Amino acid sequence: MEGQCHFLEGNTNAVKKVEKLKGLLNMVGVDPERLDFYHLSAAQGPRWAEICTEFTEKINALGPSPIWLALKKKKESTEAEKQVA
Amino acid sequence: MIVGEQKPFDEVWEMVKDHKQLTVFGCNTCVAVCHQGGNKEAEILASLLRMRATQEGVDIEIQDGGIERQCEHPFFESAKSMLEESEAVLSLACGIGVQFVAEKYMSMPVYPALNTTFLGDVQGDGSFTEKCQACGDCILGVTGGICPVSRCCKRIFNGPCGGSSNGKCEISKDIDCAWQLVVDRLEALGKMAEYEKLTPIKDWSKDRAGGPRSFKLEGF
Amino acid sequence: MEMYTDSKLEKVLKNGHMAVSSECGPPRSSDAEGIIKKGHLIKDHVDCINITDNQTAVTRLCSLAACVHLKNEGLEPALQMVVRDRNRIALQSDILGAASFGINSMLCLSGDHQSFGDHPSSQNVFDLDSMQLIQTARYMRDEGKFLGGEDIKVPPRLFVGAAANPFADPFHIRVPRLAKKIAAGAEFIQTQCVYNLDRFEQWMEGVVERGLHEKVFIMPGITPMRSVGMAKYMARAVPGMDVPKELIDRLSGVPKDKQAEEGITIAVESIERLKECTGVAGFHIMAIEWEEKVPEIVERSGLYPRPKVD
Repeated sequence: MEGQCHFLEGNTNAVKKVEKLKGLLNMVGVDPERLDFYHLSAAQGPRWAEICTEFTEKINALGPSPIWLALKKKKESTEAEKQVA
Repeated sequence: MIVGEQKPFDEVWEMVKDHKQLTVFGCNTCVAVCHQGGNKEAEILASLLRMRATQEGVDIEIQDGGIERQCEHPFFESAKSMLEESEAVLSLACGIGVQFVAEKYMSMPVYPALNTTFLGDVQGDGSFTEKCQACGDCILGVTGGICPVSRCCKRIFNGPCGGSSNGKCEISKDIDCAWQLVVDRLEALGKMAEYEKLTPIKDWSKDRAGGPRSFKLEGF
Repeated sequence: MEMYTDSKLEKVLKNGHMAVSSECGPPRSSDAEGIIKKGHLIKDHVDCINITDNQTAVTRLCSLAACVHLKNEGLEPALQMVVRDRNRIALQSDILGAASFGINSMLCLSGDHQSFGDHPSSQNVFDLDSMQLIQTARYMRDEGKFLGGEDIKVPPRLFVGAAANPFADPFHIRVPRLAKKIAAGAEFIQTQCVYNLDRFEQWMEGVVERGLHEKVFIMPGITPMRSVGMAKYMARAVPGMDVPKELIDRLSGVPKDKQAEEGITIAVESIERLKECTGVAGFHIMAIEWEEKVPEIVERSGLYPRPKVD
């Protein structure tokens, strides 16, 4: 778990990087809740499955990301242009 | 080394948003050490700009790349075709690298992603402090190895001023009084007698005051 | 003692009298009336009036112009010069300008950092430091030359002073630093406001031990407290200011409407005690925006009438 990394400080460094990344996402208008970090060992398959389920539920609840929406809008407008052409 | 800090993201965006194509270009030496301008940071910044562009509905093709040093010709070889095919470059180098790119590619716009902040050291993880102003006439030999030009807010040559308090500068408790450090060092060196020697009036012509500086090695 | 200038301050000091100087800040305006009024309020009670140079890095009517206004009124101004805003060309030029108007004394300072003032985004100059400005003024007067080496046809004759802060850190270099200012050519010293008399006397002991008091005239700075609030503010927020707790307690102990009076009394008591301190040659009374109280302080301290000198 935290601090018990095969790469010594690997997971504590990762925690800091994820924090930084959350800030960057926020800066470009993406909810930092869309990113998360968990400490797990390779022997915790069931817990991993649980986390995946929980996180999927959370993302579903948040709805589509602004990036996804922007891409969809773009796709629709190019298709509309194509039809006009 | 040269320390830089990334400009606010909005400022960067405003500079580049009207281009159709952009190369975000890292410099993997000094400014990579302070995690602001290396090739990895270029990749992250390119990614952020793409996300911004997508949301703003702006079409920019953004690629990223980088070289070891943007201040020397030979290093540019590996990025030659990438840069030649670019419409504009957002350089994550210090001001030197940005200018180097501008000089090399006469008709291509180049923008600075960083503010070049100072010449400094790495105090510890993620902590950088100014130590030199390249004044061109080093006096560290008489100030116990502490630079009053870069580290005293009034660059006093015969300090400290009356604002030195508990080892800190009057302008901020986060700034060490350079002259307290000088005195501490002179004491440790057993050279307090030197303290009373007046430091002569400085020749600032060797500083930026004398115009842009250069030098050539003979026999090269 | 040999006189080098027409400075009244020099004459008073060299004739062995306790000198009294004061200071006035110019207005933030192009109207000099305020500073002229302040000058007249105190002129009979002091030997010279320092005019501050954009103090606390706040832009004001320039020190040189204000000095000229006082000179025109027949008063004796001393030009304060900070090295923050001007390079050696401008500083030497202003010294010549001051001398051309018959301004006879100057005080060399580094100047408060611009981050404290009304233009924190300005560049600072610091081409010279305050010690080097002392050297410059003395070199111009005594060698009759500019720093660049050229001769000055008619050299400026100014009595050159410097500031000293006996209370700043590190304390043990405060005497050596004074020695350095004397070596640079300082002829008189006006100190930071003295509230901690014990510590000042301790500093003076070091000064006298090295015989420095025989090489320079030392004038402790006296600033009366107007209220306990001012005392607390100075203790807390002004770097290099030593305000002992006893002084704050003493002011707190009197009703609010009597605190100003108590502040004046403390100033008078300080002067009376320091008069007896070996090496003290006079007093520099800085009544900040309270110039009208200077005459009272001078009179109650037994420093009035001022000696007549030619």
